[in-house]
Amino acid sequence: MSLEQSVEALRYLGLFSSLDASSIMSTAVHALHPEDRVAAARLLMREKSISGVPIVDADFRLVGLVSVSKIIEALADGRLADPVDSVMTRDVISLHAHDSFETILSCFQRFKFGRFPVVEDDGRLVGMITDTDVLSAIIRSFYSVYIHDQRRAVTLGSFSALSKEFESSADFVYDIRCRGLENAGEGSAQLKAFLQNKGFGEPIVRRASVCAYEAEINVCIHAGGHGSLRAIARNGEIILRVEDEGPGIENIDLAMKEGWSTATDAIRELGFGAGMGLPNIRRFSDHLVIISGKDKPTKVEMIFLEGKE
Amino acid sequence: MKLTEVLEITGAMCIVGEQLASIEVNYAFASDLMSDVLAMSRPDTLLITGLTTPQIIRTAQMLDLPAILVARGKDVPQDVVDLARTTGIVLLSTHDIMYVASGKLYARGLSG
Ligand SMILES: Nc1ncnc2c1ncn2[C@@H]1O[C@H](COP(=O)(O)OP(=O)(O)OP(=O)(O)O)[C@@H](O)[C@H]1O
Ligand SMILES: [Mg+2]
Repeated sequence: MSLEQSVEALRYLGLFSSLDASSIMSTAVHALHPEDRVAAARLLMREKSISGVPIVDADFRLVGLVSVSKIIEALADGRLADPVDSVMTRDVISLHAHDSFETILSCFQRFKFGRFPVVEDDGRLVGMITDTDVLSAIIRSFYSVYIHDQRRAVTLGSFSALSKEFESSADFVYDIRCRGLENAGEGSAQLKAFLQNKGFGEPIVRRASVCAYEAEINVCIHAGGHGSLRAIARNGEIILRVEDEGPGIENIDLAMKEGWSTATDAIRELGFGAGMGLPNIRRFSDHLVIISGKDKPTKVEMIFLEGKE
Repeated sequence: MKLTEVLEITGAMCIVGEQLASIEVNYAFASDLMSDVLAMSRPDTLLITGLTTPQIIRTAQMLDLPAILVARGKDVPQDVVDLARTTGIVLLSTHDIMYVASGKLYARGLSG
């Protein structure tokens, strides 16, 4: 799987949907004014190891950009003492603070520059985005994914295709609407009946039901009780997705540990909060992807293969 | 072990379970934490628990457990009784605490 395919897969998983320019950019911006000298731009680039200096007016509105190549030209022409105004690029390609991750990526692909200034609606410069910023945003996104599989990349690829299919043609859909624990588990019970009806064998139905149940209970006790349970079940394969509306799991690796739980005593009195739900899901599923993060929805996707018991 | 023997040994009464006489279990598992129960995957197991929430029925249903023994003689709410009936799970209740009920059954050959 190529990097481009991986990024594509992550995109379908909705991993980048919350990233916009303002969350990726660096805000420690070094800018100059048009009347500053070219020599100052050269010094700034060398000291801060940056490859381009944005030029702003008195109100910090972006008016130009001086790149390394402009400095080299100015050096050759002996114009270091001139104002940057005379050498800067004026039609700067810039991003908006609320531009989506998609827009940012396509900007890098189209223009082949190493950096883009980020401006507010009024044209004020608020940050810069370099290709390194984009890369580290992608890497940070990975921290909020848990994948249990020997062949991580392959799973990610198949899940990306799946995510689209879940939206268009799930075989089973249940809206989770829980008040407390009252009806928690009803969706999984319905799912179990559905799978039995479809003729799946007892062991795979049991594994899928147990995992659906653990995930459904988690939505009820950790995520306010609102979410959905979907299944695609065909050709000896059961694929489940349980998702909610947040508040999300801050550290998924920690949540995967046996015995780790944030459940209250009140929940424990009701029989949950052993910190065994996610570890159970890992044990009983054949492939597992969890996507979450602080203040984000949680998506749990599981695949069960018939005859894998 | 036949469920009729479980009744006898623990002095339990049967809340739901017309089908009781025909059922046998080979193992028992005692816990108040459902995910601990769910971690185990042996269908022919008797669940012994001190809880009386709807989720004890759901847990048994997911695992294909045939029967639940509620310890300490707790009152089982009507909705839980109804759920046991509709899902076809036998519901028993004993005055013994979980430890004692488990001990008695274990001593009579029902293993964990
Ligand atoms: N859907 C979710 N939304 C938010 N947080 C979650 C969600 N699912 C799990 N978590 C977090 O992950 C932790 C571990 O989950 P896990 O299901 O393993 O244990 P638990 O639910 O606390 O206890 P148990 O499942 O044994 O009853 C939870 O305590 C909670 O902090
Ligand atoms: Mg749980």
